[in-house]
Amino acid sequence: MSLLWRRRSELHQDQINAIEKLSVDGRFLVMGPPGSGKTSILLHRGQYLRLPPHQLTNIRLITFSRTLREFIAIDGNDRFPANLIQTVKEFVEDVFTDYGASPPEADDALPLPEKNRILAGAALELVKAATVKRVVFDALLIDEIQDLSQEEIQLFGSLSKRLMFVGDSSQKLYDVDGGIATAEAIGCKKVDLKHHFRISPQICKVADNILRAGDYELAKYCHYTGPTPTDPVINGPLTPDAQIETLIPSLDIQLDTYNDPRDRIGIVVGRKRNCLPLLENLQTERRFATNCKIFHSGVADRSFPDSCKICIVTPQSCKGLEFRALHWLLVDETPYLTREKAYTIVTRARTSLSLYYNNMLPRILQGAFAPTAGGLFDDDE
Amino acid sequence: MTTSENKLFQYVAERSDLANFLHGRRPLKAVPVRDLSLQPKLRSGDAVVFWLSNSQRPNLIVVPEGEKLELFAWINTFHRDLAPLTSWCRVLSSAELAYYAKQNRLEPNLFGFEAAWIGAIIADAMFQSRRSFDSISLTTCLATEAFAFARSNALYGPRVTIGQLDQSLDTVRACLSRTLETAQKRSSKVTLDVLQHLLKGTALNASAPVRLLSEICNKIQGISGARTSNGDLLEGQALKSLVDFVPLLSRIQFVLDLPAEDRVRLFRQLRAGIEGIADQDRVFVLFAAGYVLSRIGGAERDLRLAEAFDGDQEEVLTWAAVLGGLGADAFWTDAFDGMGRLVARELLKPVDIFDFPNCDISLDELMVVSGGQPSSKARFRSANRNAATVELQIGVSVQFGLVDEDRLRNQPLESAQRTTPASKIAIAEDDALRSLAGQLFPHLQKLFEQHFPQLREKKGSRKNESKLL
Repeated sequence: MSLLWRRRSELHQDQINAIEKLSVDGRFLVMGPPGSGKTSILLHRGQYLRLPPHQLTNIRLITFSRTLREFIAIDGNDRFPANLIQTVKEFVEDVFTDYGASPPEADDALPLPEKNRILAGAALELVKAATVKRVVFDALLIDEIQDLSQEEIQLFGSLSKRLMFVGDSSQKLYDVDGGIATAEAIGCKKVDLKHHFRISPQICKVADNILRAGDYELAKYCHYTGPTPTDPVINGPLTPDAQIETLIPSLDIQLDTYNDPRDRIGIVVGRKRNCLPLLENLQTERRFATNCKIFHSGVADRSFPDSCKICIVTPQSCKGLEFRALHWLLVDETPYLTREKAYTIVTRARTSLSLYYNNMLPRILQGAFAPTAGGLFDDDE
Repeated sequence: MTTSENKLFQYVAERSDLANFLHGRRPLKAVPVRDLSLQPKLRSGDAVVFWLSNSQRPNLIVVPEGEKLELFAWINTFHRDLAPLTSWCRVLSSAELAYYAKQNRLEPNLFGFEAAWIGAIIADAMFQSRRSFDSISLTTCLATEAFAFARSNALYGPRVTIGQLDQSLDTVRACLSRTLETAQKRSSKVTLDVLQHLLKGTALNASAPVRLLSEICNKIQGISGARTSNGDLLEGQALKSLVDFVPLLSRIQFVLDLPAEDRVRLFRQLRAGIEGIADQDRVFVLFAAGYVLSRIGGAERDLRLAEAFDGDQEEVLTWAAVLGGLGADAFWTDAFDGMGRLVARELLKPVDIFDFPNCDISLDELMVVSGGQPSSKARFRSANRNAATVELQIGVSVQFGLVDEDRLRNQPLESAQRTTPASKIAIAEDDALRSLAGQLFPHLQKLFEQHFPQLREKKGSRKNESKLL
């Protein structure tokens, strides 16, 4: 699980262009499919601007969630300083601090994107009302634009003339609108990435069957390299306990198969409350006693230590992450399952994808998987 | 005759003059060498001494056939200041000189199987040190039986069998009284036998399994990754003959078509199935397990999975490392976390007989000074504190770990260090213990008196009763 390219030769020309060939002073909106290297482009663009001859030092890389911030910091540390990576929420709160104001009280019942939108709107007013700007950034590099609001984009636009947003409208997890359109409205030039390098052809087909962005097909632009992929599988109907019984031997095989130090296995469960029982269940097995960890907004420590090989995540917290193998448990109990959410989850998998359901597989997923070979009639061979 | 614009001189010395020449006095009558193969017939006791014009000391000594050991005995008896002679000057018999005269610079060659040999060496080092490939040292690799065997084959071709090499290594261990006894004997030599059989010009008799496995390796080397017109992998076809011997291996030919996870499942099936396999077929299952292992995730990272094979772990590990190297385009890349190219550098270093040796002693000189058994006479300074490098053949040196005597003595006093050089080896066991006890006694006495003052008083009061304290 590594976001960073170590060598120039590992990059596609489109990626090099997005990092080095775009004007230093411009505003850009880089859109691309999962695995096209968007986040890595942000990291390298940030470092490109920091290095001579540009030497722009006051730069921030802004992520949507803290899990993603920690994830980026694993590899980014020697290329882009980890302390220049912030979440949107942290960044907006800093604006209030910089202007000596308190952020408005937000209703805790509101979803995170809505709270972020209200906060960003208030911060934007603060910046506009100020007679003298207290902070101007040399550049702001922002990930996951599809889940940002109009107010957030305008706030970023008011704080720096150099912007780079990256995102993918197919990976939209939250019900907020206007981010991408606003970015174009404030002068961001759109750059499209087509090629992707992370996801196996088999998983691309599943993702293409879940959601298409016009004529674009992931499978057509797939440049996967890595272990020979497994065909995506559906396990069900299985009770929750039976799902775990099926999961455990699969994890056991995968730990032996995918043991590059950077390889991690992801387990997606629909709700935060499912995470702890699953962790406890896994930890009864000696092999998983010390290498599993939960990642969601209710967990304080979301760092990725080397010892963590199995990450238990929610649909929201898996945003931006990638896993060598992915298990999606209790699929039919995933709340508010949209095509975008299903697309986002399955494209976290690089080589192996397994789904588990209890009663009935949601229709949008049922249509995405090819059935296993078998006779049409009972008496067919 | 010149080597690199450096003129070579020789002089036939009687034994009475030889010591003078070895001490640096050059004969006035030394003659330039025109043709190394044209050497005068030597009388018993005489030696030909060779110098390069830019050398202060002799580069090579040649003695009549069968007199090398006598020369070493003479040096070690009457001129100990020059011993070990082979740590600074090469010594050859006249028959050996005739061989090297044809090519005084030996260029090692493993005929395209370098990466496979390097895999065997690294697997040996991993097994001996119980470490993964990313944490072993080059020194560990150079101390392996596989390295010595590979180097011998690279320099001289398949002349020495692994059994013969083992005997030499055992002899060295027997002569060095303080070698570390951690080296584990190979349970099977099939891997190295096969690698040797793969070399061109091999004339050694090989068993049927060795011939079959060599044939498969040869095919894999030549066709790695290629497919037939039907899309079948040729590599799978190369493995088909194994299935005829062991039905358990029926899926082995399709490994490259299997997803990575299924390869691990197949590997586990082989582990589970080996228990019921007849002894004569076991070698094929271990080969197959190594093959599957080499095809899980790039042939390197998963080598630890071999641990599942318990007593056969080394064989599976070695096969995996060897088969992962077959078909490799280049052996100087970062294979095995970069260790591969370091091993290659040492393995393929050319040998010039006029270069000074880089060992601490040669095997034949060691045998002479030790009498073939652990002996306090086998004392010599080694370049490394905890290892002695012994040359088995010209250019084939192996490091042997030695007990660190300083540590054994728990950091001796400075005065003791002066009298006992760090890397002097082979002090008799009793001497070492006596020395250790002598150094520890004052400290123990002081500690005892600090902690048990009342006993000291009692001791004082009863000093006439006992002198044990």
